[in-house]
Amino acid sequence: MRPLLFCMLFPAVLAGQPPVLPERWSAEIEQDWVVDIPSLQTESDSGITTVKLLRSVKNDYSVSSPYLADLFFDALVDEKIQVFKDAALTTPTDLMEVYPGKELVWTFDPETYEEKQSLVWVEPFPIYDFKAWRLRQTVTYHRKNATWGTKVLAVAPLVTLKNDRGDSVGLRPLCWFRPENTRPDLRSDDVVWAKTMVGVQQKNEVPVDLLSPPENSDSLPKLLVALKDMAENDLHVPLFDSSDEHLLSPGERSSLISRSDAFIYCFTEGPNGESTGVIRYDVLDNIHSIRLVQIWYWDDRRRRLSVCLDAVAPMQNIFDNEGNFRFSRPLFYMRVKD
Amino acid sequence: MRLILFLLLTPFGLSGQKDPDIVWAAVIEQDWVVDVPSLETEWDFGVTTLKLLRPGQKVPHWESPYLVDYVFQAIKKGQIPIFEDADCTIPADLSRIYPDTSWYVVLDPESYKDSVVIVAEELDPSQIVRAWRLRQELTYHRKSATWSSTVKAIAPLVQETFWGKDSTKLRPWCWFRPENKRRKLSSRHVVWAKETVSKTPRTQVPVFPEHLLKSTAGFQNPVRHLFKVLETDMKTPFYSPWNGELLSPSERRSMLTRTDTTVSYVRDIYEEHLAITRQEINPDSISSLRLVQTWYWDDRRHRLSVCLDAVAPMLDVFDIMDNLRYSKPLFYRRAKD
Repeated sequence: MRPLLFCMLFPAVLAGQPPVLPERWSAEIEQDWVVDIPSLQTESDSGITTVKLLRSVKNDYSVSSPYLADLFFDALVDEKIQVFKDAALTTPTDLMEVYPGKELVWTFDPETYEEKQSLVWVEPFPIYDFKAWRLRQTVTYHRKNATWGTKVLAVAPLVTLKNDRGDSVGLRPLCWFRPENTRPDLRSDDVVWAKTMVGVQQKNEVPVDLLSPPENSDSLPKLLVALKDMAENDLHVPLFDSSDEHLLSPGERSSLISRSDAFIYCFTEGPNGESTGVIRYDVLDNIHSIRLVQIWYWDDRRRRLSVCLDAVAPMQNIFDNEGNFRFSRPLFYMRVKD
Repeated sequence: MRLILFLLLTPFGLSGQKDPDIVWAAVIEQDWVVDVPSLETEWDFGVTTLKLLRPGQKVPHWESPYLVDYVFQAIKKGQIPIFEDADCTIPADLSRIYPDTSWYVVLDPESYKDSVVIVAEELDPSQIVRAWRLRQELTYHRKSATWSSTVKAIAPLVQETFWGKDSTKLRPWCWFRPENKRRKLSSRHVVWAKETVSKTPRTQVPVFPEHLLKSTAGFQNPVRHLFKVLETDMKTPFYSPWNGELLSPSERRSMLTRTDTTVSYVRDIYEEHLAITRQEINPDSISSLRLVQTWYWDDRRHRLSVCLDAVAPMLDVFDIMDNLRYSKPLFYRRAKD
C-alpha cells in the first residue's frame, strides 16, 4: 500500500522541487564564425585572437597564406581532405562539384534588347568567397564533475547564396568536412595557424533556451539552475571572473550568485511620496545565453582542422536604472581541463 | 710564435675595412614601419608577418602582437640596455626618455594664480612609436659576389611636434643593439618574426650612399661587379624576382639587355615599321638596392635579431616621355648565412 501511495504522490512531490538536470546533458548547436579577419585589431573586436601564425617562406616573393580559407582550399585542391554535401557527412562530393568555377550570368544584348544567360568562368578566390564558417557541434555538461565538453561534428565554409538573377540572398554551406576534436601541440611546427574564438559575434551566441528548454513556461532552464547550484555549493569547482583571469574566492562567488542588488528609490502613495527598498533578484533571470571559448588549430602537415573547447561562461544581461538593456557580460568562466 | 702573430693581427682582420675581400662598405639608415595591424596593409609597406605566437594557455585581448610592446616591456624590466646615441656609448635613463609623469600649469579661478600640477601618465608605446630606425653596415664581398649586413643599432622613432610651427618630425626615442644572428623560425622562443622588403623610399638603399666606409678602386659601384658575375660566372646562383626560382644561363644573359619595340611610320608609302631594339643595361643607371631582411623577436632572451636574406639591384622604368614610372628588382642575390 505504502509504495502505491508513494508512486501516486511522487509526481506531486516533484512538482514542488526545482528541476533536476540529468547527469550527462548535451545539445547540438550550430554557430557561424567569421574567422579570416586581416586586421589584428579588428579581429579582437570580433572575439578572435591569433594565437599562432607560422608562415613558410616559399621564395623571396611568396609566403604561405595566413588565412584558413586558403589553407583549407589548398588541402581540397590536393585532395587531402574529404568533403561532403550534407552536414551529416554521408554523401561524399569533390572539388569540381562544389566549386565548379562556372557561373550563370544574365547578359543584355544592346542590339536585340534581349537578355540571355551565359556561362562564365569564375576563378576561385577562397579568402573572398568564404564569408564565414559554420560549425556544428554538441555541447555537453557533466553535472557530477561540473565539466563542459564539445564535440565538433562538421564544419562548412559558407559562400554567398544567389538567386537566379544573381542577387545575393544569404549564405550557404559550400561543402562539409569532419574536423578533429583532439588538441594538437601549439608548439608543433605542423600547427601553422591557431585562433582563439570567444563567442561575441551575433551568430555564435548559444541561447540557453535552445540548450535546455524549461519544462513549463514558469520554470528556469534546468541547466541554469544546475550551474547556480554548482557555483554556490561546489566550491572545489574553480570559477574565474568575467575577464577569465582571476580565480573567484568563495565570498566573491556567493555575492555574484545571490545578489540582493541595489537600493532603489520608488514613488509610493505614502505621505513622503518616496521610499527606499532592496530588490532581491535571481541572477538566473538575466541569463539568456552561454559563451563558448574555443581554439581552432590548422595542422598543415595532416591538413586537418581541430576545434577544442577552452572555457564556458553563462552570459548575464546588464540593464540600466530605466530597465534598458546595456550589454551582456560573462557571469563567470568555467575552464575546461585537458 | 704563430699564435702571437695571429692574436696581434686579429683586431685588424676583424675590422671589415682591412679585409681585402670586402671591397665596398657603407653605413645605411632605413626607417621601417613594422607594426602594421593589418596583414593586407603590411604588404604595401614591404612587411610580411612570418610568425606570431602567443603561447599562453589563455590569451587576453591586451596581449600585444606588436614589436614595440615586446621591446618596451624588455626595456622597462632592464632586460635591454638603452642608449642616447646611435653608437650606443651613452647609456640612457628610462625615466628621462619615458617619463611616467607630466606637469601641467593650472589656473586658480579665485586667486588668479598659476600653479604646476604633476600627474601620473600611462603612455602607450604602440601609440607613440611611429617607426623604427635601423642603422647597419652593408658590405659587398668580391670573391663570393655577396652582400652582408651588420646591424649596429636600432631606435624606436617618436613624433616630435614643434609648437607654433605646425610641423612634426620623427626622432629616435632611444637606441639599442640588436643581434645579427639568424634565429630558427620554428623555435618556441621566437614569438614574432617579419620579413621586410625595402619597397618604400624611406627603406631603399642608395648604391652611392653618403656614409661610405670603404670603396676599393674599381668597386665604387659594386653593381657593376655583380652584373659581370651574373653574365660570366654561371656557378654563382642568382634568383628570379618573380617566382624566386634559380635563373638559367639564357635568362641571366637576357636580363642585362633591355628590349624595346619601336614603331616608325613612313609617310610616303604609308607603312608602319616595327623595329626591335636591344640595349644593354648600364650598371651605373642602377641607383638603389632592395634589401630583404628578417626580423625576429626572441621572447626568452628578450632580443631583436635582424638578418639579411637577399639583395636586388633596382632598375628604374621610364615611359616614352622619360618620366619615371616605377622601379623593379632585376634579380636577387641571396646573402650567405
